[in-house]
Amino acid sequence: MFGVTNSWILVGLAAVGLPVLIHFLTRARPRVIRYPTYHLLIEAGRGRQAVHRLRTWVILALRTLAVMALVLAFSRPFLKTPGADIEPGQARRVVLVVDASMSMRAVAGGISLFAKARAQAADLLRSLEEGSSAGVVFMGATPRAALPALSRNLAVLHEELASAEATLEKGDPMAALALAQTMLDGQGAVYVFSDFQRTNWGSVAFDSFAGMTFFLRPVTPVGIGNVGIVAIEKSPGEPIEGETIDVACTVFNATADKRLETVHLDLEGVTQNADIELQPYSSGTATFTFSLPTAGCFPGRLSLAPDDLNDDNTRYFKVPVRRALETLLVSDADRDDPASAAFFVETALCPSEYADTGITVTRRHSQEVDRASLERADAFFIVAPARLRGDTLETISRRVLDGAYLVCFLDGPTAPAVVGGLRGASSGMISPPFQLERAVAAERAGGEFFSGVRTAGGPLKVFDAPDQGDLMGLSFRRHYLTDVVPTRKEEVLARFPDGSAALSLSPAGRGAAIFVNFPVAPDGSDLVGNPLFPSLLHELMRALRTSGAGDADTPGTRWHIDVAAGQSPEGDEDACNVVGPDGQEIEAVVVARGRTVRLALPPASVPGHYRVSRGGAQVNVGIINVDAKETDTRQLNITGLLDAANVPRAGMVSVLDTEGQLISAGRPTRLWPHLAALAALCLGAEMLLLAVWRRRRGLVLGARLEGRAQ
Amino acid sequence: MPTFDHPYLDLTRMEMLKRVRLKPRGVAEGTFAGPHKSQYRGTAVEFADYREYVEGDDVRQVDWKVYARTDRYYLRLYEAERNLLAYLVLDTSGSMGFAGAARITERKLDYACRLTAALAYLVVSEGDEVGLSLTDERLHEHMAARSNWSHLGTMIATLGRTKAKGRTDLGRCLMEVYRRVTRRGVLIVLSDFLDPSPDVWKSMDLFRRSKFDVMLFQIVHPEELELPDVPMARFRETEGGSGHFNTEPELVRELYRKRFAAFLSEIEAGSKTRGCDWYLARTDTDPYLFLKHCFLARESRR
Repeated sequence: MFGVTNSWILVGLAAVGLPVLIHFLTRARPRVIRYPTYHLLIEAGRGRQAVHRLRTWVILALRTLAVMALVLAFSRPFLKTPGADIEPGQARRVVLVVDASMSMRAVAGGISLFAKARAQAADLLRSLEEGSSAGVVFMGATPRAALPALSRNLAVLHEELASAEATLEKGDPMAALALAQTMLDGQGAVYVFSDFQRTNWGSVAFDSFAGMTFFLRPVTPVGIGNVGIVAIEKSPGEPIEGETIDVACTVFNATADKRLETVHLDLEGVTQNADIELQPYSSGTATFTFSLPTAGCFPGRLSLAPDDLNDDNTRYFKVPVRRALETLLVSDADRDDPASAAFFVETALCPSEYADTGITVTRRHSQEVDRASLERADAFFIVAPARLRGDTLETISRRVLDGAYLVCFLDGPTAPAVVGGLRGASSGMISPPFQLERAVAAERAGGEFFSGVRTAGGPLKVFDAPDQGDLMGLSFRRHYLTDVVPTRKEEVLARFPDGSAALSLSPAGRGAAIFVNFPVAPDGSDLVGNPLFPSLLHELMRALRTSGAGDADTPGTRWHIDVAAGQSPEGDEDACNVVGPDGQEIEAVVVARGRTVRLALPPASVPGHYRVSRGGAQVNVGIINVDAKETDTRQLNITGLLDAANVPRAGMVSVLDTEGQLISAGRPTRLWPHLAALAALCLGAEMLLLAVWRRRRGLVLGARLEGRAQ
Repeated sequence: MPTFDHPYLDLTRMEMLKRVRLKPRGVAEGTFAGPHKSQYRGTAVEFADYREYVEGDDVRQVDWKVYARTDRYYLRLYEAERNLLAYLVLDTSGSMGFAGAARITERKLDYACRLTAALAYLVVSEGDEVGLSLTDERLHEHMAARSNWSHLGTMIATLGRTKAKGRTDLGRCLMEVYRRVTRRGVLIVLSDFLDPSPDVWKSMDLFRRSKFDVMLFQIVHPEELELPDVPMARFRETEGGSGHFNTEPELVRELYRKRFAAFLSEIEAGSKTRGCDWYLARTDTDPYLFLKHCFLARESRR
């Protein structure tokens, strides 16, 4: 929409007629000459006359245009654009959203992206019209406004900008834009200064911000190349003293080049290096294998060589080593029956008191399970036949959901009741990924076989290579027909030829549950006589304890650490101290008590190990790592943000590629400089044309005068 | 010799032409015995040649001195001397009335009349005959060739009454002149030759085929060679016509100059092709001096 500031000056448009009037008034009166060689003159001069007439009109047009442009320029016209529905000089209401997530700490050309964003935001603040009110929002895991509301005190905003630093948090653009919307009461302009990482911005939908106008200013034309550690997986997650531990480190290459990186492991005296080759924009895994001889919680870290974004080059983890794994085996089989499944399971887990498997087994009849055993166990084995009481099922469910493990053997008529009881006690959170239909028995001669081992890249080592863990040669004489839940088929680790699930591993709250749908008693299979059986059981136990969980807390978000309940020497069982990586003590609040005590902590600002001690002894270590999404520094295709499907209103979102665009965006386009330039151009062209045409005449005139003189 | 008191004839200035004679190229065909060569040979005062005597010749023409030397009989031959006939044709059309716009001189007609009077005086003073024809779109005055001074006076008076008017049809008028003349002589045409009709050249061809000696005097004003030096002009035709052309002369000067030069070249080339003498007379030059130069040049070409 077009507008003028000084509309009264438009009266001056009447002066447009001046050049025409002057042209006709100052035109020389022709002298009438009766000329003998008129016909020769006509022959010679007609074409020239047409050219002259054209030149005259051109000059007249240039003069008229120049006058018109000057008059219009003085009227100070402007063009309103979407997001700039104000007059020039009018005060504005804007919010500046500055991306302060971890990726903005990347350095390009010696200056961090955040510093660039900060400088550009400051430039914009300086360019605001008098009386404008503005706000600044720093985007992190939780948006932070420099001032709670818009303010005309831009000096304060400048100070906040100057003192701000990029965080180690992940970015939440939707939250930041929502805060900006709140500050603007749903109407106004938002300027966003960011690297527009695709992992953060890819899911932003502008249709939630109907009345707003957005100006996006990328602080870097393309994403900064980066390599970082994005994930760590330990197997097992809670090893036993002396148990072999595998730590797999995933590294992501967010550059366009192939990279060869060396990952360094540092953990309580264990230092290892591993080289990893990374393809462009791909991840790779390096694995470290070691064992820890003593129990305890051991903090460790994996690191890469420094690059332009160092904060994701180190990732922290801990390895909580148990002295032993307490297991509770519940079965109604006769304790002395050497042909029972429970006997074989117990023997496989703990062959003898002299065998140091790290696993202790407590066996109870289902009706005699005591609370102490239930509360003490780290893992539960339910081996059919077993008819568990309701309170037992509830306790087991609670414990598993709280992080314990469950292995449930579904052989015999009691299996459906066990499955149903667990499902009911856990509100469906502990259940196999299949429905038990009916028991079937195989002919002795034919036998039933595992139809094929499917690991799905899963944690069971015994299934890694068919020649090591090939269960095809085993025969099972009965099992339950199952109907696998389609959405949970990934949890099924092995199947019978008829498609029924034979083995499954399911998450259950903070714990996990394995359901075994084949008999382990000698009368049901030849598994127990096979040396595969003990390793299978132990691998199942290892699989249950494989986890990467516990390292998922990131800076900027509230988090907690669980510690085992205990009594301090002073008698205050909850007196725990939490010390951050920088040695600062952090205030922790107890939010839950039980077998474990949950300590709620304020959002962490730095990644690292947060050591919890009680009575001077370390009882746990909390881990804060940067969000892995921040490692992928690839920039979003910003024009994709302008997709009509994403933007409900034309002109709602603009991308500002230059500093000039940044300052002029959101403002009506002032036309007077262009008009003044047009006037100058017209006058210049007029003078130039006249000079050229008159010069030619002068040459001719000079030649004539010379001719006469001769 | 009589005196003539007329603006068109300055006898004092004519002094510079006293040694100038209008000599025809080729031979004259006059009536009387005059100083010009005649193609006819017979009793005459000027020895021409010898011829061997044959039976029947007039013995009075035998050159006895030659006989005494050679012992042979030869006749003396003499060339008959006859007087010049000059036909002056003057263009009095409207275009001849141009005297300039910014640079005023005498009219082309006045200048041509002065040339005509001077030429007529030269012819009569030699005892030759001169006639005068005045033309525009028709032959509106024709004076037969005479050789006496009163005839000259009449001619000059006629010139004095002449006005520049009407259109030009020089070709048709020359045809008319040709029909009226009875004897060959020298045709002198004084005009600006702005008549684009091809009849002009056809008539020239007639005269030349009839062995007339043709002299063309093209009268131009300096402002016809270069456009008038005025800032803005509305040019109109001089011989009627409603058209006009508004322009700044400066704009078209160069193009016009080239066009006019081409026009003069055409006239000159046409003249040369037909064996006519062509002279360009500017009205800002002295007519007597001009004539002197013309005749000297003509003499050098003989």
